[in-house]
Amino acid sequence: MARVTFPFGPQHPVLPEPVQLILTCEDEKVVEVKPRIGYMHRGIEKGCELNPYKHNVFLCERICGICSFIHAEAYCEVIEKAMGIEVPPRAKYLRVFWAELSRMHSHLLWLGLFADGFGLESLFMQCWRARELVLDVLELTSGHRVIQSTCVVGGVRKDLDPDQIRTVREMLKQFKELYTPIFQVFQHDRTIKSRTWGKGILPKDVAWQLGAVGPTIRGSGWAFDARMDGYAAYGELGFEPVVEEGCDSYARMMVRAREVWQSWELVNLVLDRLPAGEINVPVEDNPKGEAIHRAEQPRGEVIYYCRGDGSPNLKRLKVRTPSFANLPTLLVMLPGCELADVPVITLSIDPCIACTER
Amino acid sequence: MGVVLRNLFTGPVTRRYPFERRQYFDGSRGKLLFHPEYCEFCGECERACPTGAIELDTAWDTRRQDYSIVWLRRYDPFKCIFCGNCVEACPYGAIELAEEPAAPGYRKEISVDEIPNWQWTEWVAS
Repeated sequence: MARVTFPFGPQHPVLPEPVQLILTCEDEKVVEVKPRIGYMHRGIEKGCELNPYKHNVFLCERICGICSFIHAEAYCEVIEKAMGIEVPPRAKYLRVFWAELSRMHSHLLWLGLFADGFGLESLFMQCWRARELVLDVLELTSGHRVIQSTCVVGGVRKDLDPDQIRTVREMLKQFKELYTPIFQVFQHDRTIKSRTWGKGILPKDVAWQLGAVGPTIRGSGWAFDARMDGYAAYGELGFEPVVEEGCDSYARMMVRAREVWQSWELVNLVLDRLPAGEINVPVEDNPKGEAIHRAEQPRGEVIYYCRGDGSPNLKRLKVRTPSFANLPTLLVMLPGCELADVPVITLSIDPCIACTER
Repeated sequence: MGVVLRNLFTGPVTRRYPFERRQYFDGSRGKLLFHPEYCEFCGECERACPTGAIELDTAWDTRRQDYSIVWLRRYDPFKCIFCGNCVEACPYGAIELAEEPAAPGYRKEISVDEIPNWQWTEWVAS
């Protein structure tokens, strides 16, 4: 059988971001795949060395538009580690609040795109309709729908007042009503199962060897989540990762669909247990020394490393983002699959190239 | 079937823009408003701005012949990320964030505001 090699992406209807896959096919079967990245480099790490370290929060938020708050949170936590700052408890809980809302809206966005990927456009609309409520909660509490800008070194900038908490609770109730039928469709629908069940297998041991993170590795049966470290208030809230044993696209989808519920519960828990007190501590010094921090983004674990020498500018900021760790898994998932399944399997790792290349 | 029947008898989910506008929440970060009459030219906003969208500058007052200067504030709305740092930094309440977002611009214009200052004339002359 003659082999045909052709490019898939970087511009493709199902790909939200520019990643190119060089596919080699025999008839309709993919036999070889080569991912190619490098379409979106913006030099953010270098930019972070030129700005004063307090201003970098706003730059780090712009690494990715979807998990923007968690980037800002991870940056603030790494600087706080380097400077030995203890954040007030209320700020820790508020960080979890916005981080989990970000995770909800990211997962709903992805579930919608995934539904669009296998052809259920109505489900795509329903997912984004539910996501709109989460974005409204974010706008109500932080002032902006996507880029929250609420996290600063030493705490957070915005507080929740009792009126807002009451409104947020009502909106979360509405969200539950909207998301329950959507979740059932993802769980039981035959069409979805036929497109995802057994497609893009990532065996358990291979997932660990390739260093996959986030829902990609949790869909392969590993309870691996940076939130288990207990950073911010996760340690006090009691956290158990969502794990699926299927190792296929369906398992990865179900991890995300169930994580929306988990985040919903965490947000409610934060509102119940929100401690009183200050929301930030004044920070006057400059960072000296180095620190490393792991945080869990919607796509997986992000690692921030910083080194300062006592000047207002950092000497080095290094970010290792989850999609960069997840891209090699495509080399295992894609060979052997049908050509028509390539978009669904590629989307199942939730590739975020804006994060990967920065 | 239930969903189909419900959707038949309920109105559209989307908003009928432009007849029906979205209500912004209190505290939404829209466009940046500046009140020059409260400004004391202290420079806190310039230092707090992470993108360098606000610049304070002085210039000779060309309308007069007595060596007086004017205080100018240059604001580039296309650099601004509406983070609200300047609003928090301003000790005089001269900057505020409106809830309405800024309208799209036809070209990238930098807005220049003149800040009323105390007279330098006598000081320079002496």
